[in-house]
Amino acid sequence: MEIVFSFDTLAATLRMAAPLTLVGLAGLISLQTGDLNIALEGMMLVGAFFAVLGSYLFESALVGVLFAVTAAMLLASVFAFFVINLRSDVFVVGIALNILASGLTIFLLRFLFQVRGSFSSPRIVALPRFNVPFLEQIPGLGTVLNNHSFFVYFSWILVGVFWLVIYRTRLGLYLRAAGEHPKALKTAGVSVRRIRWIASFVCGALCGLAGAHLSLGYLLLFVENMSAGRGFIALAVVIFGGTNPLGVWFASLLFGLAEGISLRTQNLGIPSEFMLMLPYLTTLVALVLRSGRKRYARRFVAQESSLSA
Amino acid sequence: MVLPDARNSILRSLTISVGIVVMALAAGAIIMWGVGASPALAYQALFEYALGDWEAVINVVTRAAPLILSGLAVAVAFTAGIYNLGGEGQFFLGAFAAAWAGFTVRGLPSWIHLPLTLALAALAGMGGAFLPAWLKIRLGVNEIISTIMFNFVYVLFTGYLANYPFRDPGRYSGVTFPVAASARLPFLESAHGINAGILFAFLCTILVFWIMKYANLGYRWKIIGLNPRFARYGGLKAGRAQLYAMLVSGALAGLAGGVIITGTQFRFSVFLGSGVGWDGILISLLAQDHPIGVFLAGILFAAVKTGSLGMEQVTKVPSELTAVLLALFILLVAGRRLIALMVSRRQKTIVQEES
Repeated sequence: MEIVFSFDTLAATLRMAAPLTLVGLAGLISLQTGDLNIALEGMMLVGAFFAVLGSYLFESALVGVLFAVTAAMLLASVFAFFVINLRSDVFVVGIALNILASGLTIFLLRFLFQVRGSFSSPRIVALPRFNVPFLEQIPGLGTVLNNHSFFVYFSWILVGVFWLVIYRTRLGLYLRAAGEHPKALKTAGVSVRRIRWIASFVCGALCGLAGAHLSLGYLLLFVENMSAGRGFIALAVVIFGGTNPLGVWFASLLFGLAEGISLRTQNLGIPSEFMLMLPYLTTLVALVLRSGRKRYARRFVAQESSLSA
Repeated sequence: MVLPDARNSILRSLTISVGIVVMALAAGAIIMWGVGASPALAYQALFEYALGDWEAVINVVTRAAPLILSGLAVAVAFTAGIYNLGGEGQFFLGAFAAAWAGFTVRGLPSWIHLPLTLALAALAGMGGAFLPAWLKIRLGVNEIISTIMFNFVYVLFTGYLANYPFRDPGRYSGVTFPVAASARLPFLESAHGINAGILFAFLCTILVFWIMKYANLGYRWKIIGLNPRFARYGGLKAGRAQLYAMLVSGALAGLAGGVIITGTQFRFSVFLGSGVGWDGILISLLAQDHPIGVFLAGILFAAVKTGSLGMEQVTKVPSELTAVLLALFILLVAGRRLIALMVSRRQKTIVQEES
């Protein structure tokens, strides 16, 4: 029990919540424009791989992040081209991109590094970590808040930025209108396509960042299919968070806690399979809890029609 | 998306699939050339290992059986407009149930034991699909997310069963006891070792085709899948039809697991199948949800997969190239369908404002 309820668990929560926050915001912005992007998973995976590749080749975390963001945005632009310009089925394109991402990263892993399963190397440089000296004086707080990868703090800032952009700027208004009432946007003389493309690019960039956090944040390695369903959990984060950046943040902290507990309890004698289930079961429970509310039901209907269109 | 005229739709599926194959083969050649292999040599190896001799063909046919069942599972659900991405988890449940029935039940004649084993596999898969279906229909829980989440839960759960209560202590961890001889699929042709899996998959294909084309239930699935609003105004209960679609889908995915256990693997293992459930999605998309198309696409997929392993041996091109190419197929199919749609839509938009 001490292992579960400890400052280390809270630290793990913040660590695991960060990629969910980033991808959750990505999912939020894609849902806002009406394109429910189920390729979040694949974009994140591609980001994780290219982060390792860039970091390995140039021995620089920054180059790794640039590689990750570029690769994920490329995949996002394929999504945007097919869905927005060609009007392909959102669902089919998303599935195809996920399969493409999984196959491509394993293909490149084996072709470039001649390994199967996972790749790590001393040449891979980690993302910078931050320490606030005075926090270390306070017991507990230092353990929880210090020594995280840069993206943990960055994801908190982004939550605020997203809230401001979505609810307080013209661009945010356009984004919301592109999903809810594209005709109004068109009447106002704004290109709906352009807004949806912008959203797709932002979505890709965020997935790239989240992928870089997964592979360069702590463990410094790439593992086949290491995104492990987080792209789909992120969709649940968006739904549970009520399609609002602050809600997304809280939901990702909750889901991060489930992942944190799952990580910290794997050597407790309880079969690890059950602990590993925790994040996925939490997601299911959250979806069920959320389903009772009317507002969600209405959104769901809207989502459904955008899916089956 | 099946046209009313079946012959027409088979032809259409076929021509589209063949056209896309050619385009993707070209893309594959470019990638092979890019990684420093000779495309001609690589494709030759791929073809020879897939269809070069009798042994290769048997290999492909054996591999195809679970893939076809998995593809049918996806096709049934997609036709009814409900997205079952949970094939992988339902496949694992079915495989474990079959293994369990195979090694615990003893002393039954094969003609009872084998059907019982397969029936349990179907039931397990069905049970696995029931939960997300019920959550979707009763509570409106998005099945795309929930089926993916259930995949992880089911795969981990069967992994637990194989690692702890039902582990064969004589084997490394995560492997169960072998199924009894009476629960194994018979050979159609014993000299070369073709098992009855492909025949079983063919019968299931015919059954699904019959349901979709002639049964009332299949008609409801189609209407709901094509236009849920129209179905609702027409007085169709979408929920119930979709529930049945998910149950049939889960049963087929479970049977894919059952066929792999009773046909080739004989033991449940946590490393089973290498993504048969996921491959089913690709196969169904490739066949545009048409059952006969799924059968053909399943064999094509098995051939490509078998051949790619040979290609890897000969040319050092990683076999995952085929996954990339197949994903490209699907993208091209999605884009291609739209080319036709854009032409017909452009005419419509003159009258109707585009949304």
